[in-house]
Amino acid sequence: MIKPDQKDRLIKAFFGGNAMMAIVILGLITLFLFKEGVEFFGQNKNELDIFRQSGMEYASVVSDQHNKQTFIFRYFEEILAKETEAYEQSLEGKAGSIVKISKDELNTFLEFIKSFQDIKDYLLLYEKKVVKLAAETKQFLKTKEIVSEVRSYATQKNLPREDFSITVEEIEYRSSFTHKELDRWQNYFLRNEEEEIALKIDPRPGETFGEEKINVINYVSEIKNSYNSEYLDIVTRQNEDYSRLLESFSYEFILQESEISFEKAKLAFREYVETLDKYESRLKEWDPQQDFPFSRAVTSFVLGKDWVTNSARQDWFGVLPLFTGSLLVTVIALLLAIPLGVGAALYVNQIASSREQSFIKPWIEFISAIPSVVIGFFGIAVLGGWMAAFSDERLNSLTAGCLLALMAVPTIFTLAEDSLNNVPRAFKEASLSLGATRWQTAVGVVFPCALSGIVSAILLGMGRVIGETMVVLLCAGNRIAIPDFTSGFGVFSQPVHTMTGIIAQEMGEVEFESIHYRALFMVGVVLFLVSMLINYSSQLIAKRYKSAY
Amino acid sequence: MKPSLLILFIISSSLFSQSKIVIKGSDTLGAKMIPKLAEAYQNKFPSTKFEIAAEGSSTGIAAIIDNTADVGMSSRELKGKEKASAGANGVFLFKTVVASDAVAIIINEDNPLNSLTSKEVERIFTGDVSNWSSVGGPSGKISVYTRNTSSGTYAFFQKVALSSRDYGSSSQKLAGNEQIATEVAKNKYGIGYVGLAYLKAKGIKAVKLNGFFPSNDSVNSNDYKLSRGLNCFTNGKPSGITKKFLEFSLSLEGQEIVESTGFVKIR
Repeated sequence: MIKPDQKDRLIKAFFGGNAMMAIVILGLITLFLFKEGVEFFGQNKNELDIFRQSGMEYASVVSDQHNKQTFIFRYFEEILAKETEAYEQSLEGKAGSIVKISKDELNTFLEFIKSFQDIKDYLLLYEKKVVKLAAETKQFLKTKEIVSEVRSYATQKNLPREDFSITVEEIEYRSSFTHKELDRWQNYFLRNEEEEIALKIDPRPGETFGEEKINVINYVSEIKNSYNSEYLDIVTRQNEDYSRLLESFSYEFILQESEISFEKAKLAFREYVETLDKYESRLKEWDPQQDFPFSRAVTSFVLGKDWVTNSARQDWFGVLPLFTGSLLVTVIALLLAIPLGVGAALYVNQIASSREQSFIKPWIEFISAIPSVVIGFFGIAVLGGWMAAFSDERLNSLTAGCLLALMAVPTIFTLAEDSLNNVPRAFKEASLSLGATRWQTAVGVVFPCALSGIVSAILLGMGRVIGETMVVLLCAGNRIAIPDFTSGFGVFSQPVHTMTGIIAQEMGEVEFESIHYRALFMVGVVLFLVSMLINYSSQLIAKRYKSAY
Repeated sequence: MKPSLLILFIISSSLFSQSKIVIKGSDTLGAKMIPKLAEAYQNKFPSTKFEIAAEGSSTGIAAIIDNTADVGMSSRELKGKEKASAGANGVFLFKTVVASDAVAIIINEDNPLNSLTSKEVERIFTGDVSNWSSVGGPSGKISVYTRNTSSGTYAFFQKVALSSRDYGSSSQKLAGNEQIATEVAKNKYGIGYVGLAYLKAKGIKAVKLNGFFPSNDSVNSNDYKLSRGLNCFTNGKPSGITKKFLEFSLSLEGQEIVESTGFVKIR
């Protein structure tokens, strides 16, 4: 027989234990998340070092230069687009079309555009060649690391030396490994029953590079030499051909503004020519042996503007495009949800009759019962179509924002309504007795009183929206780039990708414990920190400004 | 032999010759084509059972290396790591190409353009060119739709059509062939790529690549550059019933089935 005293203690222990367990599990999740994520930085530093040592950094500078030329090209492209549009309109006989030109004349401009791209291609071809050499060198560096590792392992395990007699020092000095050697070493480990180690060695059977069947080679010296032997010639040739092209270009513009824009574009090109020596010095000064500081590994994630994965060149893991994407859809969702949610709460709580209350409340709360994937499906099937009337892109941040607002409204409504309810009746009655109308009371007395609770409700709605995955994955357009805020309201019609969306999209394909896997965990860590911050501030505000009545 | 003994012999031999072929791998092959081939094969040889699991090319190749399947379907070529694994396990991966697939480049049917060169395709999908007027089309911003990074088609297109350059940052990554076809059909200035079987969707049309439409002939004559072989891998040269099944797939009847599914026959 359990004494009532002991029973009490048991019950307390049971519930207390449950509470403790919840906190312990939360702690474990946090720990696990951070452990997986933080190892990312070490791997990132390694990647950055290989980026430099393999010559991929050199290739990226050439790439930057090519991209700058593409940027200038865009100015010319814009002009062609406007001219083509004017030409199309003149064909249809629209008002305001002045100069009538033939298709042939427009084509001279088109030919100019094509020739510009062809000259740009000289640099592109060189870039492709350097990328190929750098990719091979990367493979070489990775192989060298693995061979060193397994050599040390073999020494440690005291395995026989005959077929694997190369020393770790000798490995450091090698500039190539042949396919035969790697094959032999793989067999060595198989014979000694170290299958896992054998699998790390990749002899790449049957692959050729260039004329010989040699396997992995360090091409860093080739890349460095190509600066003098190829790069400088290409740039000179480009300059000559570009100048010739620009000078020999004769064409009568349809639109007056086109002529002005063309001069501006030529000016931009001349400015580019003046920065040429900057690229040259970056390439000349590239030193494959210099290490990156560890802080770069962190800033390239936190402030990185590119998230590129599965690239044949270099993977970049910068969280900024995803973070700004999440932020943009959250802001849009809140802009829509706050007036609707808070307004509805104020109305239902203060003004509506009890019949209206019993009608509106359950229906708003029903919205939160709709599965998010159904809402996402509604977005692609229906809302996207309506969106096409306003913007070029069907699936963009506005589409996702509207749907997320729909999901946030019930959260904000319920909590705001709750906090409005908690305002003591005495306040309301006192105000009414002083002659204020119901509306004045609601807005001037009750609302400010409940403000802390309402702000807290909004923050929780924000937390819900930032963590929503399915809707953004389906409806936000999935373009991984920082939205272009300089286009004013145009930013709403841009497709974005979000932190939650990228995790959902890429998690299925990452190799366990690879850098990509860890990068996704880091994105998860960022999400976790943001949610914690939001929840913490919501609790802080609710507590601090809650007056004791 | 006495008739009753003969009948007994026939019955017992057919009872004991129940054989099974385990096929695992690519969804492209395993969703419709291989099951149809299996069904036709079973109509001819009713004693054969098939076990087909289509969970992705990587799973098929891994299954051959592990010896848990007879045939590994793959819509891509072997990766270096897989060759290394095979070597380490004493498995020799033998490839039989059973069909060809072409990746068609699609645009909206209202777009007056009809053909593109490979250079123009590379320029469009890498973002070098952002307006249709630069490739001789109408004035309008190009909306590029691609698959996402987990797709074999994404990787194939990147390697062959973009010569391993990165996709443009303004491209939109969608989950499947159908979604790309839908978005291109709804966007006058859209462009994307899909497998041959999805060309029948409404509102889109395929463009000629270097003068060739994707079709049986242009794929087999190697004129259409974006074609890939659909492979069946086996451990060493196929033997026994696996050999018979693969020979059936390559026979006239089998290739008719390949074509009816929407892929391209191997000549």
